[in-house]
Amino acid sequence: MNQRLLASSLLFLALIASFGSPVPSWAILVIWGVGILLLAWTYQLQWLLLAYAALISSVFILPIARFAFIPMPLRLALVLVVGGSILTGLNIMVLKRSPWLKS
Amino acid sequence: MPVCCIVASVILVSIIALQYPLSSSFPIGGDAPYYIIVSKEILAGLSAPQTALHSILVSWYPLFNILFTTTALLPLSWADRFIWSMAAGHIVTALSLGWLLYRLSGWRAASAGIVFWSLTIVSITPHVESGTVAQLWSLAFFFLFLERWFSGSFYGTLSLFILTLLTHFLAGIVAVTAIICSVPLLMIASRQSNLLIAQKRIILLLKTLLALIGILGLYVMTKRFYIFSSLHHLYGTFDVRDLFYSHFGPLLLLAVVGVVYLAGRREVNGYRLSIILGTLTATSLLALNGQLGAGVLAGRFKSYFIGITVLLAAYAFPRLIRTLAPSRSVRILITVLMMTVLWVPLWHYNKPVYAFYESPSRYARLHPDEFEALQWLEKTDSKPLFIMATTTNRHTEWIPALTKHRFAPVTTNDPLFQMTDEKLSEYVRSRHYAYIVFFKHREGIYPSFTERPDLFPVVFENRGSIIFSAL
Repeated sequence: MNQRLLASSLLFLALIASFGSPVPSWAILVIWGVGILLLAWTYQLQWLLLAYAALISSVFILPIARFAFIPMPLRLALVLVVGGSILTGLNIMVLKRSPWLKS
Repeated sequence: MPVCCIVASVILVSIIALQYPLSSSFPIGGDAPYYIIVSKEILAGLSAPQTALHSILVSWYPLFNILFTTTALLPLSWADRFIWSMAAGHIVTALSLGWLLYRLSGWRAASAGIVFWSLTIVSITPHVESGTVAQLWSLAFFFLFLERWFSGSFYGTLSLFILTLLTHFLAGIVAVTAIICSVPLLMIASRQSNLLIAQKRIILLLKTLLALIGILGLYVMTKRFYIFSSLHHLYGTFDVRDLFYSHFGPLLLLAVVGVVYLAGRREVNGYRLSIILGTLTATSLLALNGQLGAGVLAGRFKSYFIGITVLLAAYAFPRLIRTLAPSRSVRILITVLMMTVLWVPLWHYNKPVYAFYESPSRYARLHPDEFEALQWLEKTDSKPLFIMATTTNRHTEWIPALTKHRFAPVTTNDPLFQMTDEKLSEYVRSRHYAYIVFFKHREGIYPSFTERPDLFPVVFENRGSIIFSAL
Protein backbone atom coordinates (compact mmCIF):
# COMPACT_ATOMS: atom_id res chain seq x y z
CA MET A 1 0.00 0.00 0.00
CA ASN A 2 2.87 2.38 0.83
CA GLN A 3 4.38 1.69 -2.57
CA ARG A 4 1.08 2.51 -4.26
CA LEU A 5 0.75 5.71 -2.25
CA LEU A 6 4.31 6.73 -3.13
CA ALA A 7 3.66 5.96 -6.81
CA SER A 8 0.42 7.96 -6.77
CA SER A 9 2.14 10.88 -5.04
CA LEU A 10 4.90 10.97 -7.66
CA LEU A 11 2.39 10.72 -10.49
CA PHE A 12 0.28 13.48 -8.99
CA LEU A 13 3.36 15.67 -8.54
CA ALA A 14 4.36 15.12 -12.16
CA LEU A 15 0.80 15.87 -13.27
CA ILE A 16 0.61 19.14 -11.33
CA ALA A 17 4.08 20.17 -12.57
CA SER A 18 3.10 19.40 -16.16
CA PHE A 19 0.15 21.83 -15.91
CA GLY A 20 2.51 24.75 -15.53
CA SER A 21 5.33 23.56 -17.73
CA PRO A 22 5.30 24.80 -21.32
CA VAL A 23 7.55 21.94 -22.41
CA PRO A 24 7.90 18.39 -21.06
CA SER A 25 10.99 18.91 -18.93
CA TRP A 26 13.22 15.99 -18.08
CA ALA A 27 12.58 16.46 -14.37
CA ILE A 28 8.83 15.98 -14.86
CA LEU A 29 9.32 12.96 -17.09
CA VAL A 30 11.75 11.35 -14.61
CA ILE A 31 9.32 11.86 -11.68
CA TRP A 32 6.47 10.54 -13.79
CA GLY A 33 8.60 7.61 -15.06
CA VAL A 34 9.54 6.53 -11.54
CA GLY A 35 5.91 6.91 -10.43
CA ILE A 36 4.45 4.85 -13.26
CA LEU A 37 7.11 2.15 -12.84
CA LEU A 38 6.33 1.92 -9.12
CA LEU A 39 2.61 1.74 -9.85
CA ALA A 40 3.14 -1.00 -12.45
CA TRP A 41 5.29 -2.84 -9.93
CA THR A 42 2.42 -2.99 -7.46
CA TYR A 43 0.47 -4.94 -10.11
CA GLN A 44 3.50 -6.98 -11.28
CA LEU A 45 3.36 -5.28 -14.67
CA GLN A 46 6.75 -3.56 -14.60
CA TRP A 47 8.40 -5.71 -17.33
CA LEU A 48 5.46 -5.33 -19.64
CA LEU A 49 5.45 -1.57 -19.06
CA LEU A 50 9.16 -1.44 -19.92
CA ALA A 51 8.49 -3.50 -23.05
CA TYR A 52 5.78 -1.03 -24.14
CA ALA A 53 8.12 1.88 -23.36
CA ALA A 54 10.89 0.32 -25.46
CA LEU A 55 8.45 -0.21 -28.31
CA ILE A 56 7.16 3.35 -28.16
CA SER A 57 10.71 4.70 -28.01
CA SER A 58 11.62 2.67 -31.08
CA VAL A 59 8.93 4.56 -33.02
CA PHE A 60 11.17 7.62 -32.83
CA ILE A 61 14.38 5.71 -33.58
CA LEU A 62 13.35 3.05 -36.11
CA PRO A 63 10.41 4.06 -38.26
CA ILE A 64 9.57 0.58 -39.46
CA ALA A 65 8.11 1.63 -42.77
CA ARG A 66 10.18 4.66 -43.75
CA PHE A 67 11.57 3.23 -46.96
CA ALA A 68 11.03 5.37 -50.02
CA PHE A 69 10.94 2.43 -52.43
CA ILE A 70 7.84 0.94 -50.76
CA PRO A 71 4.55 2.42 -52.05
CA MET A 72 2.57 4.31 -49.42
CA PRO A 73 -0.37 1.86 -49.20
CA LEU A 74 2.03 -1.01 -48.52
CA ARG A 75 3.83 1.09 -45.92
CA LEU A 76 0.51 1.57 -44.12
CA ALA A 77 -0.13 -2.18 -44.36
CA LEU A 78 3.38 -2.80 -42.99
CA VAL A 79 2.72 -0.45 -40.06
CA LEU A 80 -0.58 -2.13 -39.25
CA VAL A 81 0.64 -5.73 -39.66
CA VAL A 82 4.08 -5.45 -38.00
CA GLY A 83 3.09 -2.86 -35.37
CA GLY A 84 -0.26 -4.56 -34.76
CA SER A 85 1.34 -7.98 -34.31
CA ILE A 86 3.93 -6.75 -31.81
CA LEU A 87 1.41 -4.72 -29.82
CA THR A 88 -1.15 -7.53 -29.87
CA GLY A 89 1.52 -9.88 -28.54
CA LEU A 90 2.17 -7.50 -25.65
CA ASN A 91 -1.57 -7.00 -25.13
CA ILE A 92 -2.05 -10.78 -24.86
CA MET A 93 0.63 -10.88 -22.16
CA VAL A 94 -1.13 -8.05 -20.29
CA LEU A 95 -4.45 -9.87 -20.60
CA LYS A 96 -2.99 -13.13 -19.32
CA ARG A 97 -1.61 -11.29 -16.28
CA SER A 98 -4.94 -9.59 -15.65
CA PRO A 99 -6.30 -10.47 -12.18
CA TRP A 100 -9.68 -11.11 -13.78
CA LEU A 101 -8.27 -13.79 -16.08
CA LYS A 102 -6.13 -15.35 -13.35
CA SER A 103 -9.15 -15.96 -11.14
CA MET B 1 -23.50 14.61 -5.81
CA PRO B 2 -23.18 12.48 -9.02
CA VAL B 3 -25.87 14.49 -10.82
CA CYS B 4 -24.30 17.80 -9.72
CA CYS B 5 -20.86 16.72 -10.99
CA ILE B 6 -22.18 15.54 -14.34
CA VAL B 7 -24.26 18.72 -14.81
CA ALA B 8 -21.26 20.90 -13.87
CA SER B 9 -19.07 19.01 -16.38
CA VAL B 10 -21.64 19.42 -19.15
CA ILE B 11 -21.85 23.16 -18.41
CA LEU B 12 -18.05 23.48 -18.58
CA VAL B 13 -17.73 21.64 -21.90
CA SER B 14 -20.72 23.55 -23.30
CA ILE B 15 -19.16 26.92 -22.44
CA ILE B 16 -15.98 25.99 -24.32
CA ALA B 17 -17.93 24.53 -27.27
CA LEU B 18 -20.24 27.56 -27.50
CA GLN B 19 -17.26 29.90 -27.71
CA TYR B 20 -17.03 28.94 -31.39
CA PRO B 21 -20.48 30.02 -32.60
CA LEU B 22 -20.51 33.00 -30.24
CA SER B 23 -17.09 34.24 -31.40
CA SER B 24 -17.17 33.35 -35.08
CA SER B 25 -18.75 34.62 -38.24
CA PHE B 26 -19.01 32.28 -41.23
CA PRO B 27 -16.04 30.09 -42.02
CA ILE B 28 -14.29 30.47 -45.34
CA GLY B 29 -15.36 28.21 -48.24
CA GLY B 30 -14.33 24.59 -48.55
CA ASP B 31 -16.27 21.83 -46.89
CA ALA B 32 -18.73 24.12 -45.04
CA PRO B 33 -20.55 25.16 -48.25
CA TYR B 34 -20.32 21.57 -49.50
CA TYR B 35 -22.30 20.23 -46.51
CA ILE B 36 -24.94 22.94 -47.02
CA ILE B 37 -25.22 22.25 -50.76
CA VAL B 38 -25.76 18.53 -50.13
CA SER B 39 -28.45 19.29 -47.53
CA LYS B 40 -30.20 21.63 -49.96
CA GLU B 41 -30.09 18.89 -52.60
CA ILE B 42 -31.62 16.43 -50.12
CA LEU B 43 -34.38 18.90 -49.26
CA ALA B 44 -35.02 19.64 -52.93
CA GLY B 45 -35.19 15.91 -53.49
CA LEU B 46 -38.17 15.52 -51.16
CA SER B 47 -40.33 16.18 -54.22
CA ALA B 48 -38.03 14.06 -56.42
CA PRO B 49 -36.65 11.31 -54.14
CA GLN B 50 -34.15 10.03 -56.72
CA THR B 51 -32.14 13.29 -56.49
CA ALA B 52 -32.04 13.10 -52.70
CA LEU B 53 -31.07 9.44 -52.81
CA HIS B 54 -28.26 10.15 -55.28
CA SER B 55 -26.88 12.96 -53.05
CA ILE B 56 -26.85 10.60 -50.08
CA LEU B 57 -25.35 7.66 -51.98
CA VAL B 58 -22.41 9.60 -53.42
CA SER B 59 -21.57 11.23 -50.08
CA TRP B 60 -18.67 10.06 -47.89
CA TYR B 61 -20.74 11.03 -44.83
CA PRO B 62 -24.36 10.09 -45.62
CA LEU B 63 -25.59 9.89 -42.04
CA PHE B 64 -24.14 13.27 -41.12
CA ASN B 65 -25.67 14.79 -44.26
CA ILE B 66 -29.09 13.51 -43.18
CA LEU B 67 -28.59 14.74 -39.60
CA PHE B 68 -27.46 18.15 -40.81
CA THR B 69 -30.43 18.38 -43.19
CA THR B 70 -32.78 18.12 -40.21
CA THR B 71 -31.39 21.45 -38.95
CA ALA B 72 -33.51 23.03 -41.72
CA LEU B 73 -36.25 22.98 -39.10
CA LEU B 74 -34.34 25.61 -37.09
CA PRO B 75 -35.10 29.28 -37.76
CA LEU B 76 -31.48 30.10 -38.70
CA SER B 77 -29.52 30.70 -41.89
CA TRP B 78 -27.67 27.71 -43.37
CA ALA B 79 -24.30 29.16 -42.37
CA ASP B 80 -25.48 29.67 -38.78
CA ARG B 81 -26.90 26.15 -38.68
CA PHE B 82 -23.52 24.88 -39.79
CA ILE B 83 -21.52 26.76 -37.12
CA TRP B 84 -23.92 25.68 -34.37
CA SER B 85 -23.70 22.07 -35.58
CA MET B 86 -19.93 22.21 -34.90
CA ALA B 87 -20.59 23.29 -31.30
CA ALA B 88 -23.35 20.70 -30.92
CA GLY B 89 -20.96 18.05 -32.30
CA HIS B 90 -18.48 18.74 -29.49
CA ILE B 91 -21.17 18.62 -26.81
CA VAL B 92 -22.69 15.40 -28.20
CA THR B 93 -19.23 13.81 -28.45
CA ALA B 94 -18.44 14.77 -24.85
CA LEU B 95 -21.78 13.33 -23.71
CA SER B 96 -21.28 10.04 -25.56
CA LEU B 97 -17.74 9.78 -24.14
CA GLY B 98 -19.21 10.49 -20.70
CA TRP B 99 -21.85 7.80 -21.21
CA LEU B 100 -19.15 5.30 -22.24
CA LEU B 101 -17.09 6.17 -19.16
CA TYR B 102 -20.15 6.01 -16.92
CA ARG B 103 -20.87 2.47 -18.13
CA LEU B 104 -17.20 1.52 -17.81
CA SER B 105 -16.33 3.11 -14.53
CA GLY B 106 -19.06 5.26 -12.96
CA TRP B 107 -19.99 8.93 -12.68
CA ARG B 108 -16.62 10.21 -11.45
CA ALA B 109 -14.78 9.06 -14.58
CA ALA B 110 -17.71 10.21 -16.74
CA SER B 111 -17.57 13.66 -15.24
CA ALA B 112 -13.78 13.88 -15.68
CA GLY B 113 -14.06 12.65 -19.29
CA ILE B 114 -16.61 15.32 -20.20
CA VAL B 115 -14.42 18.11 -18.79
CA PHE B 116 -11.26 16.65 -20.35
CA TRP B 117 -12.94 16.66 -23.76
CA SER B 118 -13.22 20.44 -23.54
CA LEU B 119 -9.40 20.55 -23.62
CA THR B 120 -9.39 19.05 -27.10
CA ILE B 121 -11.80 21.45 -28.77
CA VAL B 122 -9.29 24.06 -29.92
CA SER B 123 -5.91 23.19 -31.47
CA ILE B 124 -5.75 19.56 -30.24
CA THR B 125 -8.15 17.81 -32.61
CA PRO B 126 -8.69 19.30 -36.08
CA HIS B 127 -12.35 19.92 -35.23
CA VAL B 128 -12.21 23.63 -34.47
CA GLU B 129 -12.88 24.48 -38.09
CA SER B 130 -15.56 23.71 -40.55
CA GLY B 131 -14.35 20.94 -42.80
CA THR B 132 -14.26 18.19 -40.23
CA VAL B 133 -17.73 18.42 -38.71
CA ALA B 134 -18.78 15.00 -40.07
CA GLN B 135 -15.72 13.42 -38.50
CA LEU B 136 -16.45 15.16 -35.21
CA TRP B 137 -19.96 13.67 -35.14
CA SER B 138 -18.48 10.27 -36.10
CA LEU B 139 -16.55 10.34 -32.81
CA ALA B 140 -19.84 10.45 -30.91
CA PHE B 141 -21.08 7.38 -32.78
CA PHE B 142 -17.70 5.68 -32.34
CA PHE B 143 -17.90 6.09 -28.53
CA LEU B 144 -21.49 4.80 -28.55
CA PHE B 145 -20.35 1.83 -30.65
CA LEU B 146 -17.66 1.09 -28.03
CA GLU B 147 -20.26 1.39 -25.25
CA ARG B 148 -22.59 -1.14 -26.91
CA TRP B 149 -19.61 -3.41 -27.57
CA PHE B 150 -18.53 -3.15 -23.91
CA SER B 151 -22.08 -3.88 -22.79
CA GLY B 152 -22.28 -7.03 -24.88
CA SER B 153 -25.31 -5.91 -26.86
CA PHE B 154 -25.39 -7.89 -30.11
CA TYR B 155 -27.81 -5.75 -32.12
CA GLY B 156 -26.59 -2.53 -30.48
CA THR B 157 -22.98 -3.27 -31.50
CA LEU B 158 -23.98 -4.16 -35.05
CA SER B 159 -26.25 -1.14 -35.56
CA LEU B 160 -23.82 1.35 -33.96
CA PHE B 161 -21.00 -0.08 -36.10
CA ILE B 162 -23.07 0.60 -39.23
CA LEU B 163 -24.04 4.09 -38.01
CA THR B 164 -20.38 4.89 -37.23
CA LEU B 165 -19.35 3.76 -40.70
CA LEU B 166 -22.10 5.85 -42.30
CA THR B 167 -21.23 9.00 -40.33
CA HIS B 168 -17.63 9.04 -41.56
CA PHE B 169 -15.68 6.39 -43.43
CA LEU B 170 -12.55 7.06 -41.31
CA ALA B 171 -14.48 6.17 -38.16
CA GLY B 172 -15.47 2.94 -39.93
CA ILE B 173 -11.81 2.20 -40.71
CA VAL B 174 -10.87 2.82 -37.05
CA ALA B 175 -13.74 0.59 -35.85
CA VAL B 176 -12.70 -2.24 -38.21
CA THR B 177 -9.03 -1.93 -37.17
CA ALA B 178 -10.10 -1.94 -33.51
CA ILE B 179 -12.08 -5.14 -34.14
CA ILE B 180 -9.07 -6.74 -35.89
CA CYS B 181 -6.77 -5.83 -32.98
CA SER B 182 -9.30 -6.94 -30.34
CA VAL B 183 -10.41 -10.30 -31.74
CA PRO B 184 -7.22 -12.23 -30.78
CA LEU B 185 -7.56 -10.87 -27.23
CA LEU B 186 -11.28 -11.60 -27.10
CA MET B 187 -10.62 -15.18 -28.20
CA ILE B 188 -8.34 -15.62 -25.20
CA ALA B 189 -10.88 -13.94 -22.91
CA SER B 190 -13.69 -16.11 -24.30
CA ARG B 191 -12.00 -19.24 -22.96
CA GLN B 192 -13.13 -18.07 -19.55
CA SER B 193 -16.43 -19.57 -18.53
CA ASN B 194 -17.60 -16.38 -16.79
CA LEU B 195 -18.08 -14.59 -20.08
CA LEU B 196 -21.71 -13.79 -20.82
CA ILE B 197 -23.49 -15.60 -23.67
CA ALA B 198 -24.20 -12.24 -25.34
CA GLN B 199 -20.49 -11.39 -25.20
CA LYS B 200 -19.63 -14.75 -26.80
CA ARG B 201 -22.19 -14.04 -29.53
CA ILE B 202 -20.51 -10.72 -30.23
CA ILE B 203 -17.12 -12.41 -30.52
CA LEU B 204 -18.68 -14.78 -33.10
CA LEU B 205 -20.16 -11.78 -34.92
CA LEU B 206 -16.77 -10.06 -35.00
CA LYS B 207 -15.07 -13.20 -36.31
CA THR B 208 -17.64 -13.37 -39.13
CA LEU B 209 -17.14 -9.67 -39.84
CA LEU B 210 -13.38 -10.18 -39.96
CA ALA B 211 -13.75 -13.08 -42.39
CA LEU B 212 -15.89 -10.87 -44.67
CA ILE B 213 -13.36 -8.04 -44.42
CA GLY B 214 -10.59 -10.51 -45.26
CA ILE B 215 -12.44 -11.70 -48.38
CA LEU B 216 -13.13 -8.08 -49.41
CA GLY B 217 -9.46 -7.20 -48.79
CA LEU B 218 -8.27 -10.10 -50.96
CA TYR B 219 -10.65 -9.05 -53.74
CA VAL B 220 -9.42 -5.44 -53.63
CA MET B 221 -5.75 -6.51 -53.50
CA THR B 222 -6.11 -8.79 -56.51
CA LYS B 223 -8.73 -7.11 -58.68
CA ARG B 224 -8.92 -3.47 -57.60
CA PHE B 225 -5.37 -2.62 -56.52
CA TYR B 226 -5.57 0.74 -58.33
CA ILE B 227 -7.67 2.03 -55.40
CA PHE B 228 -4.50 2.04 -53.30
CA SER B 229 -2.59 4.07 -55.86
CA SER B 230 -4.81 7.07 -55.03
CA LEU B 231 -3.82 6.94 -51.36
CA HIS B 232 -0.76 9.15 -51.86
CA HIS B 233 -3.20 12.06 -52.20
CA LEU B 234 -4.19 11.44 -48.61
CA TYR B 235 -0.82 12.22 -47.07
CA GLY B 236 -1.04 13.61 -43.55
CA THR B 237 1.23 13.83 -40.55
CA PHE B 238 0.82 13.84 -36.82
CA ASP B 239 3.71 13.97 -34.37
CA VAL B 240 2.59 12.77 -30.96
CA ARG B 241 5.32 14.89 -29.35
CA ASP B 242 3.37 18.00 -30.38
CA LEU B 243 0.74 17.05 -27.81
CA PHE B 244 3.34 17.35 -25.05
CA TYR B 245 3.85 20.95 -26.06
CA SER B 246 0.15 21.73 -25.61
CA HIS B 247 -2.33 21.89 -22.74
CA PHE B 248 -3.17 18.27 -23.57
CA GLY B 249 0.26 17.05 -22.31
CA PRO B 250 -0.89 16.21 -18.74
CA LEU B 251 -3.66 14.00 -20.13
CA LEU B 252 -1.12 11.94 -22.08
CA LEU B 253 0.75 11.27 -18.83
CA LEU B 254 -2.53 10.43 -17.10
CA ALA B 255 -3.63 8.08 -19.91
CA VAL B 256 -0.64 5.78 -19.28
CA VAL B 257 -1.67 5.63 -15.62
CA GLY B 258 -5.12 4.63 -16.87
CA VAL B 259 -3.68 1.70 -18.85
CA VAL B 260 -1.81 0.45 -15.76
CA TYR B 261 -4.96 0.73 -13.61
CA LEU B 262 -7.02 -1.11 -16.23
CA ALA B 263 -4.51 -3.92 -16.57
CA GLY B 264 -3.70 -4.25 -12.88
CA ARG B 265 -7.03 -3.93 -11.10
CA ARG B 266 -9.97 -6.29 -11.02
CA GLU B 267 -12.59 -3.65 -11.84
CA VAL B 268 -12.64 -4.24 -15.59
CA ASN B 269 -13.20 -7.77 -16.84
CA GLY B 270 -11.12 -9.51 -19.53
CA TYR B 271 -13.76 -8.90 -22.19
CA ARG B 272 -13.72 -5.12 -21.71
CA LEU B 273 -9.95 -5.02 -21.19
CA SER B 274 -9.53 -6.79 -24.56
CA ILE B 275 -11.67 -4.18 -26.31
CA ILE B 276 -9.84 -1.26 -24.68
CA LEU B 277 -6.37 -2.64 -25.47
CA GLY B 278 -7.39 -3.54 -29.04
CA THR B 279 -8.92 -0.10 -29.63
CA LEU B 280 -5.89 1.64 -28.11
CA THR B 281 -3.59 -0.37 -30.40
CA ALA B 282 -5.68 0.40 -33.49
CA THR B 283 -6.04 4.13 -32.81
CA SER B 284 -2.33 4.47 -31.92
CA LEU B 285 -1.12 2.72 -35.07
CA LEU B 286 -3.47 4.64 -37.35
CA ALA B 287 -2.65 8.00 -35.75
CA LEU B 288 1.09 7.34 -35.69
CA ASN B 289 1.28 5.78 -39.17
CA GLY B 290 2.95 8.98 -40.41
CA GLN B 291 5.56 8.83 -37.69
CA LEU B 292 6.17 5.19 -38.59
CA GLY B 293 6.83 6.09 -42.21
CA ALA B 294 3.50 5.71 -44.02
CA GLY B 295 1.55 8.96 -43.56
CA VAL B 296 -1.96 8.06 -44.70
CA LEU B 297 -4.44 10.56 -43.21
CA ALA B 298 -2.52 10.59 -39.93
CA GLY B 299 -3.75 14.11 -39.11
CA ARG B 300 -7.34 12.90 -39.34
CA PHE B 301 -6.82 9.60 -37.51
CA LYS B 302 -5.37 11.44 -34.51
CA SER B 303 -8.89 12.43 -33.35
CA TYR B 304 -9.70 8.83 -32.43
CA PHE B 305 -6.35 8.42 -30.65
CA ILE B 306 -7.05 11.60 -28.68
CA GLY B 307 -10.53 10.29 -27.85
CA ILE B 308 -9.11 7.07 -26.41
CA THR B 309 -6.42 9.05 -24.56
CA VAL B 310 -9.16 11.16 -22.91
CA LEU B 311 -11.03 7.95 -22.02
CA LEU B 312 -7.97 6.46 -20.30
CA ALA B 313 -7.03 9.71 -18.55
CA ALA B 314 -10.58 10.12 -17.24
CA TYR B 315 -10.54 6.52 -16.02
CA ALA B 316 -7.27 7.14 -14.13
CA PHE B 317 -8.05 10.55 -12.64
CA PRO B 318 -10.60 9.64 -9.91
CA ARG B 319 -8.58 6.56 -8.91
CA LEU B 320 -5.38 8.54 -8.54
CA ILE B 321 -7.11 11.18 -6.42
CA ARG B 322 -8.81 8.48 -4.31
CA THR B 323 -5.48 6.81 -3.52
CA LEU B 324 -3.95 10.12 -2.49
CA ALA B 325 -6.79 11.56 -0.44
CA PRO B 326 -9.03 9.20 1.55
CA SER B 327 -11.02 12.21 2.83
CA ARG B 328 -13.96 13.11 0.60
CA SER B 329 -13.74 16.86 1.20
CA VAL B 330 -10.02 16.91 0.32
CA ARG B 331 -10.77 14.97 -2.88
CA ILE B 332 -13.43 17.51 -3.84
CA LEU B 333 -11.03 20.37 -3.13
CA ILE B 334 -8.24 18.81 -5.22
CA THR B 335 -10.61 18.06 -8.09
CA VAL B 336 -12.13 21.55 -8.15
CA LEU B 337 -8.68 23.17 -8.00
CA MET B 338 -7.30 20.97 -10.78
CA MET B 339 -10.29 21.47 -13.06
CA THR B 340 -10.06 25.24 -12.49
CA VAL B 341 -6.33 25.21 -13.29
CA LEU B 342 -7.04 23.29 -16.50
CA TRP B 343 -10.25 24.94 -17.64
CA VAL B 344 -9.90 28.69 -16.99
CA PRO B 345 -6.64 29.20 -18.98
CA LEU B 346 -8.22 27.19 -21.81
CA TRP B 347 -11.18 29.55 -21.94
CA HIS B 348 -8.80 32.53 -22.16
CA TYR B 349 -6.55 30.78 -24.68
CA ASN B 350 -9.41 30.23 -27.14
CA LYS B 351 -10.34 33.91 -27.33
CA PRO B 352 -7.26 35.13 -29.28
CA VAL B 353 -7.46 32.02 -31.50
CA TYR B 354 -10.96 32.96 -32.68
CA ALA B 355 -10.04 36.66 -32.80
CA PHE B 356 -7.12 35.78 -35.09
CA TYR B 357 -9.48 34.10 -37.56
CA GLU B 358 -12.00 36.94 -37.37
CA SER B 359 -9.53 39.75 -38.06
CA PRO B 360 -10.69 41.58 -41.23
CA SER B 361 -7.16 41.63 -42.63
CA ARG B 362 -6.99 37.84 -42.67
CA TYR B 363 -8.36 35.50 -45.28
CA ALA B 364 -9.98 33.01 -42.95
CA ARG B 365 -13.63 33.99 -42.77
CA LEU B 366 -16.44 35.08 -45.05
CA HIS B 367 -16.35 38.79 -44.19
CA PRO B 368 -19.47 40.99 -43.97
CA ASP B 369 -18.86 42.66 -47.36
CA GLU B 370 -18.85 39.36 -49.22
CA PHE B 371 -21.79 38.10 -47.20
CA GLU B 372 -23.78 41.23 -48.06
CA ALA B 373 -23.14 40.63 -51.79
CA LEU B 374 -24.35 37.03 -51.48
CA GLN B 375 -27.48 38.18 -49.64
CA TRP B 376 -28.17 40.65 -52.44
CA LEU B 377 -27.86 37.83 -55.01
CA GLU B 378 -30.24 35.65 -53.00
CA LYS B 379 -32.89 38.36 -52.84
CA THR B 380 -32.55 39.78 -56.31
CA ASP B 381 -34.18 37.09 -58.43
CA SER B 382 -36.74 34.44 -57.67
CA LYS B 383 -35.47 31.87 -60.19
CA PRO B 384 -32.01 30.20 -60.21
CA LEU B 385 -29.49 31.90 -62.49
CA PHE B 386 -25.84 31.35 -63.43
CA ILE B 387 -23.44 33.51 -61.41
CA MET B 388 -19.97 33.86 -62.86
CA ALA B 389 -17.04 34.29 -60.47
CA THR B 390 -13.39 33.38 -60.52
CA THR B 391 -11.86 30.56 -58.53
CA THR B 392 -9.05 32.81 -57.27
CA ASN B 393 -10.76 33.18 -53.90
CA ARG B 394 -12.71 30.80 -51.69
CA HIS B 395 -15.61 33.16 -50.98
CA THR B 396 -17.18 32.17 -54.29
CA GLU B 397 -17.71 28.62 -52.97
CA TRP B 398 -20.52 30.07 -50.83
CA ILE B 399 -22.57 31.15 -53.89
CA PRO B 400 -24.49 27.87 -54.31
CA ALA B 401 -24.75 27.41 -50.51
CA LEU B 402 -26.12 30.81 -49.52
CA THR B 403 -28.08 31.65 -52.67
CA LYS B 404 -30.52 29.77 -54.86
CA HIS B 405 -28.26 30.41 -57.88
CA ARG B 406 -25.77 28.22 -59.69
CA PHE B 407 -22.07 28.99 -59.45
CA ALA B 408 -20.27 29.18 -62.80
CA PRO B 409 -16.60 29.08 -61.82
CA VAL B 410 -13.97 30.43 -64.21
CA THR B 411 -10.22 30.43 -63.89
CA THR B 412 -8.05 33.42 -64.74
CA ASN B 413 -6.95 31.46 -67.86
CA ASP B 414 -10.48 31.51 -69.23
CA PRO B 415 -10.65 33.03 -72.75
CA LEU B 416 -13.07 35.72 -71.58
CA PHE B 417 -10.20 37.49 -69.82
CA GLN B 418 -8.63 38.10 -73.24
CA MET B 419 -11.80 39.68 -74.65
CA THR B 420 -13.18 43.21 -74.63
CA ASP B 421 -16.37 45.13 -75.49
CA GLU B 422 -19.04 43.40 -77.61
CA LYS B 423 -17.03 40.23 -78.02
CA LEU B 424 -16.88 39.83 -74.26
CA SER B 425 -20.57 40.63 -73.96
CA GLU B 426 -21.48 38.01 -76.58
CA TYR B 427 -19.28 35.43 -74.90
CA VAL B 428 -20.80 36.07 -71.45
CA ARG B 429 -24.35 35.93 -72.78
CA SER B 430 -23.64 32.81 -74.84
CA ARG B 431 -22.77 31.10 -71.57
CA HIS B 432 -26.00 32.38 -69.95
CA TYR B 433 -24.18 34.16 -67.13
CA ALA B 434 -26.67 36.48 -65.40
CA TYR B 435 -24.30 38.23 -62.98
CA ILE B 436 -20.53 38.56 -62.72
CA VAL B 437 -19.14 38.82 -59.19
CA PHE B 438 -15.67 39.95 -58.04
CA PHE B 439 -14.63 39.80 -54.39
CA LYS B 440 -12.23 42.71 -54.24
CA HIS B 441 -10.28 41.78 -51.11
CA ARG B 442 -8.73 38.83 -52.91
CA GLU B 443 -8.80 39.70 -56.63
CA GLY B 444 -8.71 42.57 -59.05
CA ILE B 445 -11.68 43.53 -61.25
CA TYR B 446 -11.22 42.76 -64.92
CA PRO B 447 -11.18 46.28 -66.48
CA SER B 448 -13.25 45.30 -69.52
CA PHE B 449 -16.29 45.00 -67.25
CA THR B 450 -15.85 48.45 -65.64
CA GLU B 451 -15.09 50.19 -68.94
CA ARG B 452 -18.45 49.36 -70.51
CA PRO B 453 -21.23 50.17 -68.02
CA ASP B 454 -23.66 50.12 -70.94
CA LEU B 455 -22.91 46.40 -71.48
CA PHE B 456 -22.21 45.45 -67.85
CA PRO B 457 -23.99 47.81 -65.44
CA VAL B 458 -22.91 47.67 -61.80
CA VAL B 459 -25.94 46.50 -59.83
CA PHE B 460 -24.29 46.12 -56.42
CA GLU B 461 -21.06 47.36 -54.88
CA ASN B 462 -19.50 47.67 -51.44
CA ARG B 463 -15.93 47.79 -50.12
CA GLY B 464 -15.34 44.07 -50.64
CA SER B 465 -17.41 43.10 -53.66
CA ILE B 466 -18.85 44.24 -56.95
CA ILE B 467 -21.60 42.66 -59.06
CA PHE B 468 -22.11 43.35 -62.78
CA SER B 469 -25.30 42.47 -64.55
CA ALA B 470 -25.23 40.62 -67.86
CA LEU B 471 -28.99 40.27 -68.18
